[in-house]
Amino acid sequence: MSEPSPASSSQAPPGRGGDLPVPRMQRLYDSPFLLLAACIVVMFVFFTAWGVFEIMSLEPAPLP
Amino acid sequence: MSAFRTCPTTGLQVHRTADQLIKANAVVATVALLVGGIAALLVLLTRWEAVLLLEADMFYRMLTIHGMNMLIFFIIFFEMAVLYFASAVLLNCRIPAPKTGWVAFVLMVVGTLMVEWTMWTGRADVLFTSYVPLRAHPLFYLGVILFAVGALTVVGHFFAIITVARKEKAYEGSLPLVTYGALTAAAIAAVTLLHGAIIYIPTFLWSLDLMHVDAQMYRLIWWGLGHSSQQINVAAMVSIWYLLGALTVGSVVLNEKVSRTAFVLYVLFISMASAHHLLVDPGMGPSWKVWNTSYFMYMAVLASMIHGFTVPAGTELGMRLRGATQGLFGWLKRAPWGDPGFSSLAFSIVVFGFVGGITGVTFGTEQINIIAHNTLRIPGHFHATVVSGTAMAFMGITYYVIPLIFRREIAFYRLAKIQPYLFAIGMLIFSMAMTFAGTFGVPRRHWDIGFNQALFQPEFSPAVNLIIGVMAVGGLIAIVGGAIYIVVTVVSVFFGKKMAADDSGLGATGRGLPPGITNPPRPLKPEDKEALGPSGRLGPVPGTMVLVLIFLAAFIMYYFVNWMLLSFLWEVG
Repeated sequence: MSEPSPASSSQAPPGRGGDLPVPRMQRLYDSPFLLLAACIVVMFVFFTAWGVFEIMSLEPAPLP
Repeated sequence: MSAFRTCPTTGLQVHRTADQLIKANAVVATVALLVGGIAALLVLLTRWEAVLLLEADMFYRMLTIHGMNMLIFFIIFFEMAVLYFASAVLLNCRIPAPKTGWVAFVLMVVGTLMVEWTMWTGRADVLFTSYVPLRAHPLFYLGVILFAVGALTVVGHFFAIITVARKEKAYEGSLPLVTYGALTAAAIAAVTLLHGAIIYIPTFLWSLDLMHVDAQMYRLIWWGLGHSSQQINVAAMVSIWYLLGALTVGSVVLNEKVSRTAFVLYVLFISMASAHHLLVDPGMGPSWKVWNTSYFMYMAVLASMIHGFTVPAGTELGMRLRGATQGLFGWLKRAPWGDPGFSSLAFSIVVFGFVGGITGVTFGTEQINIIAHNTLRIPGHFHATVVSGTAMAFMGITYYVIPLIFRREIAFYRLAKIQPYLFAIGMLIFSMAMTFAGTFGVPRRHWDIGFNQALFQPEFSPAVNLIIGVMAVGGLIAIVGGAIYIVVTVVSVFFGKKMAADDSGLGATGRGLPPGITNPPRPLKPEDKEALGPSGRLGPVPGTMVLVLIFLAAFIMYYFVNWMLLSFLWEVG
């Protein structure tokens, strides 16, 4: 039985030896720095930069 | 002495520096939990109108101390320990820069002490959010900056560890799922701490009268730190769910692709939940609010729903494969409820999901947020998520860290077995009562809801007094549970019976060790899957399917009730 455990490395299932290439999505997921970059870019673009733009583009309220 | 020791229980090669860093961070986390817990008791006995223990200024001081110690110091120190465990220990690799690890630890401790000094001496009564123009002593902000720099260093160190592990071929294939979850926590931590630097450096300069900080800008950037830091907790908590499932009952991973995709969704979308704190802010436009709280946050909610299924499903399947096939819930009845690691896992999932998760998603809806914002519903939500969810999971894994890393038996093991029950029941009552009180309009962060010294006294329903009383009783039960955890942990770590280096005599009495250590789940064999037989209409995990359908029904009901409550305020047509 080769049910993977959460605490051990995820190996190729029996029969899928080193001959078969690692799927593209798995290689993508296995890139820690790509994940880090995606996290930073998405957050900073959609939350931070857009939010700063919203605030900066507010017109000052006219004083009485 | 070799740089590594072989764990006699798991067979893992543990770098001794990783051992020491995990222990150091875990010990400081527990001290912070104690400080935050004492403040919790004082705050609780003040919010309980019948007692009203503290005067107003001391109430806000204790609330600040409680928030900073629990939400920042306890949880982040513990997460640093988790990062080292999930990388160096699970990957069987070395710490590449031990001195960096210790410098980062010292920075975090120094920052913590600076912040504690400013808070306890009354120089920082600014609450966890420290909103400008509330001004604290400059050392408060500098302390937070030093803490954040230290934490960011540990995050960088974590990425270095997994890079070195891959280069030195310490593991084959993809990262274990638990490590992958820790990786997502680290990625979110990087974003969180960068936001912290962006806002706390100008605020530190503002506290020295060297520059101006706009209040709305502060709120925007601060919540990029404030809520994102809670998302680190979610990712770390889910990783620990998978780990506890594996340790306690031999849970399996149903589908690596699905679980990892859910973690990736956390990385991409979860930080945008920060925007729901700004839903009532006039400075942010509706399209920003809708995009960041609706479209983006629901993708992160989808991720939580996925883990909310895969973790219990993996537990159920792991147990069914080992023979627990009676009916829908035979596996649940046979589960090791006397193992404090397992009971913590179960309660963490249930209370986090049913109370914390459902309320949080609902508040992220702009219209419903109008009736929830700044009421006790908000702390009701986050006590269910951060305390009953994350802290409870951390408590559960501690009962395995003590024997595996500290190599000690658990002291007062009978107390340790009931601790998760006390804590979970107390927190469930506490957070649900808070939510009810908030529904009646009771404000959060408020010293005296009787408004006895105010020009007017808004009338709350008489039911509020009863609900607050129930909240207080629940809180006191939870505090007892938390106190037991601290006593058990401290006594175990410093005075607990040492385990033999080769695990000889393990299980001789089994009194001070959880069953996952003394009698670990047996390895699965190919014939186990064949013995399981064909699945029924609900699939291979029918018990979990029923549980998630119950959860879905609760979610729909809660949403419906909230829209109904809103309709009482906003008449249409």
